[in-house]
Amino acid sequence: MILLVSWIYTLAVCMLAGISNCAAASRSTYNEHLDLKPLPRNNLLASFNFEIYSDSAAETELGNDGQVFWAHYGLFPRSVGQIVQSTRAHELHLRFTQGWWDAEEWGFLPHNGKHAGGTGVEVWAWIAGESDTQAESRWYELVNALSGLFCASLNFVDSSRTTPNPISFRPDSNMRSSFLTYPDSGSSNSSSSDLHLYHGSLPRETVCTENLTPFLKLLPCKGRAGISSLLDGHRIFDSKWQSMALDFVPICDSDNGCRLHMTQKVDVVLDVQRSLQRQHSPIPRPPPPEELHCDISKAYHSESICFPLPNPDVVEWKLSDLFGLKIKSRCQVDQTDGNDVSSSSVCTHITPAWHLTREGGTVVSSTSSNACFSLHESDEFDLAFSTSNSTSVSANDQPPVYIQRSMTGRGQQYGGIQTIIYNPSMTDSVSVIYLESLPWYMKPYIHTMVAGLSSTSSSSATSPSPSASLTQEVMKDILYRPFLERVRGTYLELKLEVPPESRLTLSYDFDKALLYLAEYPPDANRGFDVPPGILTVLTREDDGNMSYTYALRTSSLLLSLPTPDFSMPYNVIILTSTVMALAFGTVYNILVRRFVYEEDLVAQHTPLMQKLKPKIWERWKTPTVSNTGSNKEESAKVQERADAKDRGLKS
Amino acid sequence: MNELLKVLSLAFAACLALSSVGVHAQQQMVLDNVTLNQFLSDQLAAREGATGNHANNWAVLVSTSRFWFNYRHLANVLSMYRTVKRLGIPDSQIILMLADDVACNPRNAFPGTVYNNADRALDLYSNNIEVDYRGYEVTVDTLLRVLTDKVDPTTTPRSKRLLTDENSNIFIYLTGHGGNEFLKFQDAEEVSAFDLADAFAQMWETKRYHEILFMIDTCQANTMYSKFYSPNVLAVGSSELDESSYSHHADSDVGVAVIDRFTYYNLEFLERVDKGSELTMKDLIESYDPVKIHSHAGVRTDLYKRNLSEVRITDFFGNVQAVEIDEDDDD
Repeated sequence: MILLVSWIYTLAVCMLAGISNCAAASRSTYNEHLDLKPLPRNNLLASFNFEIYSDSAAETELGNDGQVFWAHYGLFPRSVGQIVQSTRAHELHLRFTQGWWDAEEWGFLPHNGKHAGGTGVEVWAWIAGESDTQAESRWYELVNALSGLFCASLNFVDSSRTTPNPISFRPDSNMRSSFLTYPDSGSSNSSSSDLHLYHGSLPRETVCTENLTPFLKLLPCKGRAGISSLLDGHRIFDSKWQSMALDFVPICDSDNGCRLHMTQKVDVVLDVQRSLQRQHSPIPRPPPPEELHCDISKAYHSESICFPLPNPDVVEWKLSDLFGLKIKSRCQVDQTDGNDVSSSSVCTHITPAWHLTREGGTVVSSTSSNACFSLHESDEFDLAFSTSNSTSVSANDQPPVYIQRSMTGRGQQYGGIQTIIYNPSMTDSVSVIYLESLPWYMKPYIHTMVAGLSSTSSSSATSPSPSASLTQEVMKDILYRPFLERVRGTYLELKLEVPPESRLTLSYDFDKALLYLAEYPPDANRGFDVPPGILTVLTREDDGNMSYTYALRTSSLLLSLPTPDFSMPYNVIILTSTVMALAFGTVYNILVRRFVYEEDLVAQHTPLMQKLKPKIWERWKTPTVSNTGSNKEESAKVQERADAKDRGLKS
Repeated sequence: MNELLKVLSLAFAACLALSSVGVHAQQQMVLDNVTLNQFLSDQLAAREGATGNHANNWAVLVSTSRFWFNYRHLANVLSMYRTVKRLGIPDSQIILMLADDVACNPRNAFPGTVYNNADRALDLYSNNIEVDYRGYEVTVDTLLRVLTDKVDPTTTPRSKRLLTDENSNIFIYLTGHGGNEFLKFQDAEEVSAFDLADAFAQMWETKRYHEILFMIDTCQANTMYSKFYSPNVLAVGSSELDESSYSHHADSDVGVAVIDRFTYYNLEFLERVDKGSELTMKDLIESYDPVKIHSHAGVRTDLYKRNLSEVRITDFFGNVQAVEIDEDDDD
């Protein structure tokens, strides 16, 4: 109703103003923002944020037959919009991450971990579909289309790497008011029951310049002007941790109508000393003796002996040193009526120990701990940081939980996983959901899962002691779906509650599978990557609902499975030897083997005494042959008997 | 019983002998020159306008080797990628297949960078690179499917398909480790010269190319094009049977060899070519010096009807088409 009224109002205004192409209640806009925050040990967290809103559309423009194919992109990239719409995805989240976030040194993940992924590539989306199979086939279409757009092997996300409907993810947009209607969805507004969540991850995927290039090409200035011009693959991929995130979320609100909204973020933790050194020489070389900072408190310190301090306290660097260039001009986007619909700003989060020198731009706000600048369209912008105490960095709140996962056991048949979740808070317990998707060739035994709790407070130090009651106290819920060989992996989601100041150790055993020959990758002896575990922290709101406040991921694991010897000479020798043995054996048998009757064999093989015995006995029994007449008969009988015997043997 | 067994074994041996002879006989069929020429002229006569000019240019650039020590194969392919882009072929018409990632490899002392020369003057992995197939996707199956377009049209994105037609000139470049009539993919499987020949034959039947320039830089590379039998295929290889192809030089900071000899001397020639260049394929072939390349590069022209001195380099490496200028002043 409100939308209809606003549309009529807009139309009236348009007719009065005489503008022919006036249909949108709100214009497409573009915002870019850079946050710079020094971290301990001469590191720098640089967070690039890019936000694009499409033109909004009124209801009646959405086609007579109910078919909606969004036509009012404005600055919104058409390539993403068309992929998302043709696969009926209501929300899409894509992450490319490499490196390790040191939570103990650097604290909270940027944006509360909502926009950081696990090692490799991670993608999840809510897909509309009347049935599971239809939604799943659309999911595969979506990941294939994304693989072409982002030059990543996302087409490998098949059923064995997809997790359907994990509870660790909640949609960002209000699904009930989602206006993306599709011809076959039946109702004009898709209800949330039609939406299926799929999550896929590829921990082995590399992230390199070919992923950054299409990422930048989605922006209005295509990475050539404004803050996005600082994003250079040579610097971004020379960092301790970097994460590129893309989130597509359609938004409806009363002020602006319904619009497509996309945020792109690049978060990088740069090692300042290493990046500065790249300016001088492309290859890291040790500094000359006069530039060494020595620890003079050491007893052996002298002119010829130096214990080098790794991190100098007095530092001075500029943005152009770290990123290789200055920001030439801001990315200015004007609509057809001449209004500037873009904005760009740079903010720093420092302490009073740091001193900033700006070149170009204007100051928007400046306090001792936070300074923001906006960029001009014509000048270059550069920012110089200097301090005499680089250890003084803005306070980082301690994250609500720490997690660490590792593999235990040895050998090629069995193994175990051990996950340690640590709650540092002294007063509050923390509720978390821990999602683990294991590949099908890791076969876990859930009945072997034990939880051990140990307190880390200084008053008591107990070792983890698994017990049934403890497991029930700590493990609030288990969602588990066992694996199906070669079809899907294990899905395990645990709802846990970790008491304050304690360390929870979860461990379980698994079996390793033997794969078919064709299933081994070309570098099988490296091992197989297991996707990171995802930990989501829940906080109880005032109204009693649980909201997802923080997300973090473990590192991926490397699983060594029993691998055959792929070496070609070995296989050739084995095969050839087998064939030769068979051939030789057959031919030898044909040539040498003779078939004889059993009686002949017995006669041949009876020993000499046995042969002579009946003859001697015969002699002894029968009378001599020299007798006359009457003996003729007997001798004839003897002869007969002897003949009969001979005949008996030979027949 | 005895006799029966003897007969059976003799029959088995006879079968084995006959089958091996039969296979050999089949191979003989394609290699007979007289029948081949007849076959070719029949094919060409069937295709009208086959000797006309091309309308678009495509490139399929494949590196088949994995692992850090095969850096030079990826540098080979990236050099060719840079060359064809420089001469005008857009990314949408290039299929680039890299079997491994060396630019962002943890072993790379220069992150995000690939060099093909120890002077490190040129970075091949600049900010505008589009890799269509990478890592484990680069397999024999994928290559043959891309060439013959036997992919699932609903799921395969357009950037990963070779959408050529009968007026397309395709430049196909393969590099890696190979041998007598085979090319090894990622240390796990091989594609044989027969497979490639059949793929090209399928492409001809389905009118997917006008002319193909097939270039291959591996050991014993010339054997890979010995089995082709489709018309309009010009093939260039880096070494003869029983000859290896060698790397050119190594960079001591990268730590491995950065370019192969055959590709190095090809690039030396191609650096002189720009979009308007009139250099021909004959010039390129004549520039090959076995003393410098350390192997005998070969060319196969019997399937290719045009005279090499009339074929411009940009017919294959660039995106240059014949343009007819309308001299008429009236609009």
